[in-house]
Amino acid sequence: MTRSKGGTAYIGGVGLTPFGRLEGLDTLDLMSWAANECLSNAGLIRAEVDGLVTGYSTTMPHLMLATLFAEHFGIEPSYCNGLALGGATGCAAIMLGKMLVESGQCGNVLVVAGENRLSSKGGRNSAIQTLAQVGHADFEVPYGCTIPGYYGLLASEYADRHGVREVDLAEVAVHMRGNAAGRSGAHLRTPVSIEDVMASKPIATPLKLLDCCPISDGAAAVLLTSRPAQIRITGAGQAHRHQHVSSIGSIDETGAALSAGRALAQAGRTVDDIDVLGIYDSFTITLTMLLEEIGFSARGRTGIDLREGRYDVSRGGKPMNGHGGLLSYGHSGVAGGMAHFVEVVGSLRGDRNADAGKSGFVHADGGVLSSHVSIVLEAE
Amino acid sequence: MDLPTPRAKSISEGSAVRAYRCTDCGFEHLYARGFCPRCGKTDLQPFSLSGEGRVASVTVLHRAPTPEYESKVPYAVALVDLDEGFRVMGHGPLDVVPGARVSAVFEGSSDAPLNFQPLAKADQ
Ligand SMILES: [Zn+2]
Repeated sequence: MTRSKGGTAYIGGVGLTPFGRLEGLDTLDLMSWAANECLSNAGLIRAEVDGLVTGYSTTMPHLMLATLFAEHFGIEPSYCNGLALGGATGCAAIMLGKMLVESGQCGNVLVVAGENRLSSKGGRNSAIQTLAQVGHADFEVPYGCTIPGYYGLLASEYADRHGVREVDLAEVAVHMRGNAAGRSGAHLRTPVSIEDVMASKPIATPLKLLDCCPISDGAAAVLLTSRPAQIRITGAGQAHRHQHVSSIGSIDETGAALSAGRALAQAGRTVDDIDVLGIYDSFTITLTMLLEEIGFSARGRTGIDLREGRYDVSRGGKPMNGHGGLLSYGHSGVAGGMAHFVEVVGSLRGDRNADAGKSGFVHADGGVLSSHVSIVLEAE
Repeated sequence: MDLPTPRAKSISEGSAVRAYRCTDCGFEHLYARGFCPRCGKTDLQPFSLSGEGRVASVTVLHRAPTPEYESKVPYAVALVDLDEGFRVMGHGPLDVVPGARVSAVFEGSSDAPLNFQPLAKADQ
């Protein structure tokens, strides 16, 4: 590949596997599946890919996942990197791809992630133990707290401060399940009611089983290119204000608004301009806090907004996580956070509805609202 | 340049939660680093905290991360805003709620995890 002149980063293609139990496939199999779909969607051959950005895989820990994948998949990129920012990794990798294209360093950057988090040896139990390690090694992990526990603490304080009740959080779970109902690739598609969510077993109070995303197998890929296409990335931003839940300065200023503000400013947009949303939803409280800090919903209003149809396409609302989000499409690590991006690209392309709008916004967080990445997309 | 000394991995010293004040810039911090996270200087003055504070949030865990904790479910984990302005994680009673006044109870070794108990009304 000759070095391109750079400029704008377009979305050349996307790929998303079904999420759920995909027995027998490992990280490389899943990543290859999504990458093949993505290249085919982009109409590119392997030799045209000159940049590769991957995440990490908890089921295939490796010092050099990007190079490992490059060899396996059959590409020889001139730029390679593997990122690790927890749930924000996928969006951070897409942001890096955008920067590589804009700078002219690369012409076609493949961003790909996937893992068999559910069906790997150890499965759920191993994943829960691994994930708990994002807590402070000396001052949090020894207390037996888990990822749902860290988010349960956020939900407890947020309820105390903003009056968000468990039934308000349940609205998020019901809505995401409703979105997933029509998607054959979604991990969880059986509709649930508010009563079902409220009656589900406690995991880390106030969070119950249906407030938590499932652990899934799956993969996703995105191709960023200098070749003009229908969708382009017009803004990207990040914010990193803490790592640990005990070190969050204020639960109302976690960095989400800072990150979103940076991305929107770069795009010359405000939250009111956004037509399609893809917002990280590892737990019902995650989506609630992100929507409210960024400003899509007012403080304490997410549950009410959902009840009133603000995010219900069939009632004239803005589409949000149309695939069902992490809560229902599923969560397979880095790919889980990329699925929102793939979904927003699909919406802007008019895959779901020809009038979906022109401006998209995707936000992901890693850790305990620790790492934030926001991306703004525009359709021609 | 001096070699760094290993940082303290315990949050308490004896029967007190311990924090650090930078003698250079005055910044106070809780988690030991061996340097001031604001200015980077290494001349730090440890000081003891009252161990009393207000519960900011609490979660009761019904799913444990390790086999060791599986036998303990359900157990409560709280974040407590200590009166001196630091937020710490600790164990507490299952029925403790945000807003409650609590105090760290030290039993056994000083590097055991923090355990908070509600202050009697008369103490509040
Ligand atoms: Zn200092």
